[in-house]
Parts: sequence; C-alpha cells; structure tokens
Amino acid sequence: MQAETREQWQSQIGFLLSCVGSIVGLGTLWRLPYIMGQNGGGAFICLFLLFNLLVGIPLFAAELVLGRAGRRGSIGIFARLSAPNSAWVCLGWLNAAGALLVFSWYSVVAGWGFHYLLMALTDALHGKSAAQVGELFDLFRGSGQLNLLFQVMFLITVAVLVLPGIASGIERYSRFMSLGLFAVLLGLVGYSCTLKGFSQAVHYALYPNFAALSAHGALKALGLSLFSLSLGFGMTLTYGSYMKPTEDIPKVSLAIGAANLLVTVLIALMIFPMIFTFGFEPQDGEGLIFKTLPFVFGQLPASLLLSLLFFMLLLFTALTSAVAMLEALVANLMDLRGWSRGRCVLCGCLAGWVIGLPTAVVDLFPTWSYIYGRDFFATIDLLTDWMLVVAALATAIFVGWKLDATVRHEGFVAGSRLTWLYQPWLFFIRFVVPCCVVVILLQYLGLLWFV
Amino acid sequence: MSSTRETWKSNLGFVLAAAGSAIGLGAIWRLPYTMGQNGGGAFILLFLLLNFVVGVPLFMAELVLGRSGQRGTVSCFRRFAATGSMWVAGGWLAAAAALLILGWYCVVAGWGIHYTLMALVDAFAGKSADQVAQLFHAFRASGLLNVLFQSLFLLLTALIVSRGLAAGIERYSRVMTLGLFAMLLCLVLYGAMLPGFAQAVRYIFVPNWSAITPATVLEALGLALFTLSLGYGPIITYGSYMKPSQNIPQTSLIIGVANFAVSLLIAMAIFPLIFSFGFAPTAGEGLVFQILPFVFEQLPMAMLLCVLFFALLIFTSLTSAISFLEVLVTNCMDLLNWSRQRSVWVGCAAAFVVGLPTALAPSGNLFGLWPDIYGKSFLETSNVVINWLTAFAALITSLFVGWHLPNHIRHEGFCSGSHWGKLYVAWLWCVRVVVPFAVSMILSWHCGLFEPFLRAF
Repeated sequence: MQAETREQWQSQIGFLLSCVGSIVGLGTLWRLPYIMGQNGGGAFICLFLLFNLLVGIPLFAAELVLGRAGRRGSIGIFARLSAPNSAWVCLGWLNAAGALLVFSWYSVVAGWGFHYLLMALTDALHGKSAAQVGELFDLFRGSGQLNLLFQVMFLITVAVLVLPGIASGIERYSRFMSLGLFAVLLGLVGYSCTLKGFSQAVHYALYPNFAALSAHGALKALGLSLFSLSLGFGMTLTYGSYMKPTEDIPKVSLAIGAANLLVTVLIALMIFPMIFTFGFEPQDGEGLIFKTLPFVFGQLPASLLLSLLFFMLLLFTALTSAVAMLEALVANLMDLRGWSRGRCVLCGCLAGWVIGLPTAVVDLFPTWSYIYGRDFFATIDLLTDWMLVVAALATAIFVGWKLDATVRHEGFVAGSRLTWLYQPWLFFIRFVVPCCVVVILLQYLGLLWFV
Repeated sequence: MSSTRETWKSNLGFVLAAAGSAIGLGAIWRLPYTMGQNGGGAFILLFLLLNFVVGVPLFMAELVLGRSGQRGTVSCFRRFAATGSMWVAGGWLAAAAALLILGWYCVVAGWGIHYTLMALVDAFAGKSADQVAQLFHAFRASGLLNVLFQSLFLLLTALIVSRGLAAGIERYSRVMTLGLFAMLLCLVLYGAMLPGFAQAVRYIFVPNWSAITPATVLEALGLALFTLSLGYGPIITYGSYMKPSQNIPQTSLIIGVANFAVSLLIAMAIFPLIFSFGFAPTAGEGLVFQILPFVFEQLPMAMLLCVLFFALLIFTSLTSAISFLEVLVTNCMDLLNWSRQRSVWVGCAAAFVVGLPTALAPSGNLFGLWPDIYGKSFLETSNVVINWLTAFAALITSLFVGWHLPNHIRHEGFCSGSHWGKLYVAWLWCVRVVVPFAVSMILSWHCGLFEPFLRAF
C-alpha cells in the first residue's frame, strides 16, 4: 500500500540532474581525468565510450528498471521482485552495505572540502610553497578533532538536504547544485583556457594516442564504465524507485551517460592546464586535489576566488553524491523499520559517522596500515570496489535471467518511444555485461594478467 | 500571528535597543584605532559620508523589511519571496552570522566579567605592565575559567531575552545603553584632564589626506556597514517589532548619528589614557585587556575607573549579544513553532558550543592545531567567515528590498509613521544601486580582485 503513495520526482530535468549529480563524484574529479590522460587520451575516451554503451549504460538502465518496478529501497526491491525467501535479497543488502561504506568515507573526505573552503576564505594558502601546502594537509590529517569537526559539518549538511524528502529536498537541492557545478566548471575551464599549459593539456587529455593504449588500459576503461556510473551502491536503484511510469528510461540513461562523459572531459580541461602551467606531473587522488591544486591556486591571480570556486565545486560534487547514498540508506530503513524519514536520516548519518571514524581519526587503529598494507581509507575503497563488481554482476544476471519477462519488458519500455532498443538491451544485459564484469573480476582476482 | 506580535513600548526604547545592538566590541577596540591609523579627520569625513550614503539606507531597508515581514530573518524573506526561491538565503546567512558572532562574543564578554572581578579584588595593584599582560595569558591558559565566565555571560543574556521583548530586551537595553552613555561621558571627562588629551585629539581629528588610499576607502565602507550591525539580522529582527506609527527614516538617522558619536567618544576616552603613559595606539584584545588595566592602576581612583570601564564593556557586549540571541530566538520560534523559553535555551546551547573553541584556544585542548593550519586563531577565522556571511547577507537584503519587494509594501514600509516621504526616491536608489555596488566592491576586495590595482598605488 505504501507503494501507492510513494514520493515521485517532480520534473524530468530535476531527476536527470539529481542522477548526474549522484554519479559525478569525487572519483570523477580526481581519478577519471588522470586515467584518461595516462592511457592514450582520445583513444581511451573512444574505448570508454564504447564500454559505456556496451556495459555501463545498459546496467544503469537495468537498475532504473529494477527500481521503478520495485518501488522500494534496494532490499525491498529484490524482496519484492524475487521469489519469497530467495537469496537474491542478499543483493539488496550488498547494495545497502556498499552505500553505507562509501557514504562513510565520503563524509570524511568531503568534509576536507569544507576545511579547504575555510582555508580559502582565510587566505591561509596564499604565498605558501608547494612543500608547505603539502605539510599543511598532513598537519590537518593528523588532527582528529578537526577531521571530526568537518565530518560532522558535512553530515549535518547532507542530513538537512535529505530531510525534506525527494521533491522538496533531494531534487530541489541536487538540481541547484548540479547546475551550479556546471556553471562553476565552465567558468574554471574558461579560466584554464587562458593559461599557457592549455595546449599541452588538450594534447594530453584528448589527443588519441593509440600507442599508449595497452590491454591493461582497456581493462581500466571497462572497469571505469562501471565505477564512474556508481552502479551497485543502490543509489540508482533508489532514485529509480521514485520515477514516474511515464518517464523514458532508455533515453534518460543515454543522456546521463553522455553528461557523465562531458563532465569528465571538462574536468580534465580544467585541471590539467593548471598542473602543466606550473610544471607538475599529472597525478591523481587526494594529493592532486588537496596538495597540488591548492598550491597552484595560490600562485594564480585572483587566487582566493579561484580556490573558493574550486572547493565549492568539490563540495557540490560530493554533496550531490552523498545525498544519493544517504537516500539509499534512508529508503531501506523506512521500508524495513517503518520509521519516519527524520529518524532514518538521523540513523543513517550516525552509522556513516561511526564507520567514518577510523578514516577521520587516523590514530584510531594505529597498526592498521602495518597490518593491511594500506590505511583504513584505502582499505574501504578497495572493499567497495569488490562489492561493486560483485553487485554489478549479480544485478545483470538477476535482470537478464531471473526477472519476470513482462515486468522487465514493461519496465524498460514504459514511457519510452525507443522500444526497438529492448532486444539489444536484453542481449547486452544477458551476455555482454556478465562476460565483461567477469573479466574485471578475474583481473581483480589476479587470474588475468597482461604484461 | 502577526497581529499578536509584541511591539516596542516606546520609540526611545527602540532607538536605545538598536543603538545598543549596533555599538559592540568592535566600536571599543577596533573603530577608534582604525580612525587614528587611517588619516584621522580625513577618515572620519569619509566614514561619515559612506555612513549616510550606504550604511543608513541599508539600515532603513532592514527596518522596512522587518516591519513589513513581522517575523524573524528567514521568515521575513520567505514571506515576500516565491516558495523555494533563493532569496531566502539572505535570512539564513544572517542567522548563521548571528550564531557565529554570538559564539565568540560570549567568550570575550566573559573576559569582561573576569576583569571586573579582578578590578574589584584589586588584583592589578602594584603590577608592572608586563605583569598585567602576563595575568591575561595566565587566565587565557585556563580553559575552565574561560568556560565559567562564558557561561555566566550567556546566562545573563538568556535571562534577559527569555523575558520577552518589552519586559526583557527593551527594558534592559534601555537601562544599559543609557548607563553606557553616562559611563562613557565620565571617562571622556576624565580623559580630558589627562596630559595626553591634546595628543589624542590630534591623533583622532587632524586630517591626514595622504593616508587616504583606495584600501582606506574600502575599509571605511566596510566599517560603515558593520558598525551598524547590518547583515547579522538584529536590525531586521528589531524592525519586526516596530509599530506602523514609528518613523523609520528619522529613527535610522538618529541611530546613525548616535553610533558615530559614540565611536568618537570612545576614541576620546581611550586614547588620552594610552598617550599619557606613552603607549603606541593598538587595537584588539591587547589594548583592552593588557594595556588599559595597567594604565588605570597608575591613575587616581584606579578601582573606580577600572570597574567603570569593564562595566561599560559588559554593557556594550550585553546589548549586542541580546540582539544576536534574539535573531536566533525569533527564527526558532517562527520556523519550529517553539516557545520563547525553549528557543532561548537552544540558542544559548548552540552559541556555547560555537564559542567553546575560542574559550579553550590557548589551553590547546580543542583544535590545538588551528592557528598552525589556518594561520589565524579560531576567533579570527570565525570573524573572516562572519565578514563574508554579512557581506552576502547585506547584498541580498539590499537587492531584495530594492528590486524584489512589491512597490506598495516598500513605499508603505518606508513612509508609514513618517513625514519624510520625499526622501523615499533618494533612499530607493541608494538601496537599489549604491549599496549593492558598495558591497560588491567590498566582496571583490576580499576576493583579491583589486590586488594588482592597489599595488599600483
């Protein structure tokens, strides 16, 4: 009965922007452009586009179909669409667990965004050398209290955005922030065009260099087509569950895939000119965002404005994704426990806070790095990668082979004029996606090795 | 709701409350110094001009918005904006600024209580300047003492605000602001008898035109806004309790003049003391808590002077702090439908938490690394953030009142109770164009956009 009164997205554009916001995350900002550049630029983009069409987007559409047909949180969806007591419900739990883990480290890392926003406001980075900027980051990382402060600040912000519900909370704010993200991104790209490293950056990021494209790079493109669309964390499932039957899933999925690629290219065109102008090597990860770029901003004219804009962009990116993760948890809690939204938001944030603690306070488990060979943060990252791949494989099999054929067909074509895409899509979901994901899995297991 | 809203009992009470809110710690420890350093009389003229072209019009705009809205800051914007519109951000920014500033006000005003206590027990007697300065550091290093006085001051603020508008805020603001004037006059008279008085007058009033640079102009512009409590929400909130029969243009002008006069008087109270003992003029906590206690001790009637001065400090901060708390309280009452009591205690709890890092800063127990990372103490950092918040809030308010508020409401709001209707058009264009332009100048300056230009000077 609850399904009948479930909230819905108010407008298609709001839904699109919320989805784009949810998949454009920190990874898009700090990893994607780098991998693109290292693996042959334009050549990699072609391959990435291809895998997106073959694997990523079909799976994305599959999650939306599942969500819209299930009209619940990730766990409820699989409980409703599979046989009673079937083991497929575990897949819903896997999705929820993935969302929780990613949410927890997001809350910490995006909290650093607040920290840097504050640093920008107080002009604390102005005139510092690259080494000093790096030291400041390490100093900040060592202070558990400060990390906790900003983590809590970020969690409160996310909670405030999710609290009013789908249409008046998530949709409204995601729409605003995603548009803001595009605007700021375009502004910064415009600025980067005027830098002298721009042509080198264009060459690095876009020139199709097929010689630099190895089999390993191809596998990366395959993996990224999954990761960059945030599949397997329950976010798309949950967002899909609020869709109207009149909305066009195939079209929406294609549009979102295209927007994702566009944003990635724009981010590359924003970051690399700055990096190259100051003679840095391309790199990825936190070092790029929190050490190199702040230094670069400090050297450019209007540094305060630049760093403000950039860290606002970082926050918008992180917030629109974190909102989706929290909603994935909240939707599940509301289904399973029948709690009010406010209570679920509170519980979701508390859970995210507790799991994020070891990331925020590095000396909580002092021997973690020694024992696991990587810090807690990197461990979670790796763990979620695993969960994502397994969840993607299982979702493809579930939709392709287990889901009731009428539900699947109805779910895909409802509201769409692209009905001819159904057969190709089904073929991809049944054969291509599982095969590709198995290849990724084999690579993860170390069974597939390219020299 | 709006029909049963409390109103000010008398116009004088409102003027004194608004003036008390606008005259804050900054007026004591920053404004006089800034005047002296930036060209004395030349800066004063500039400040006066900007005060009346930018500060006072925006002050009127906030009063008009408050009186037409009859609510707290957020709801005032919400009432005249479309649902879900971004204008409402102006109200939220103001509320956030009020919370942040209330946080550190309670700590610093708590030091005022501590110093009154020290003066009463004659703790400064026979101490050298260094020893007096040392006492301040020793006190700051004790987190527990800081928290004690912070809580004491918060409690005072809460007690006043919890009694409501007429019986609490108006009544006590009136007494305290009048007391402040009286004490200030005593101190100025006393200062006039000191040997450093002539030097102080020269320092404050003799115009030094060469000190006027674009940076000085922007400095004066910032002061013209921020010494009138604009952008924090107290004026909108106090305006929301105004009767239709009250004269907004006239009252605003009076408050603008009073505020300016008080700044001058404070300068004339403090600098004779400083110059008589050969100190260089400074600003900030060092001036109030390290130099002045020592100076008082050297003068006749030391204890009386000292108690008088720190009582003045407490009164100044208390009249401001209650207005900041009232901003939070009215917002809580409107948005969450809480009772006044509950809103007061929640507001105080929030301010207590926000103030903790400042109270505990030198003890190193909370955010010990803050100055190393940000290059500023927590208090200074929050001031930077407050400046940004208030600048944006002021910008949004002026645009909102100037361009978005329905014509008849704006006109009615300005002219109601006033025979100064012919000023309306001049005021309107000040609010529409001059104020936003001035505030954007300040913002661009903060952003460093003028750096290359300023370097040329």
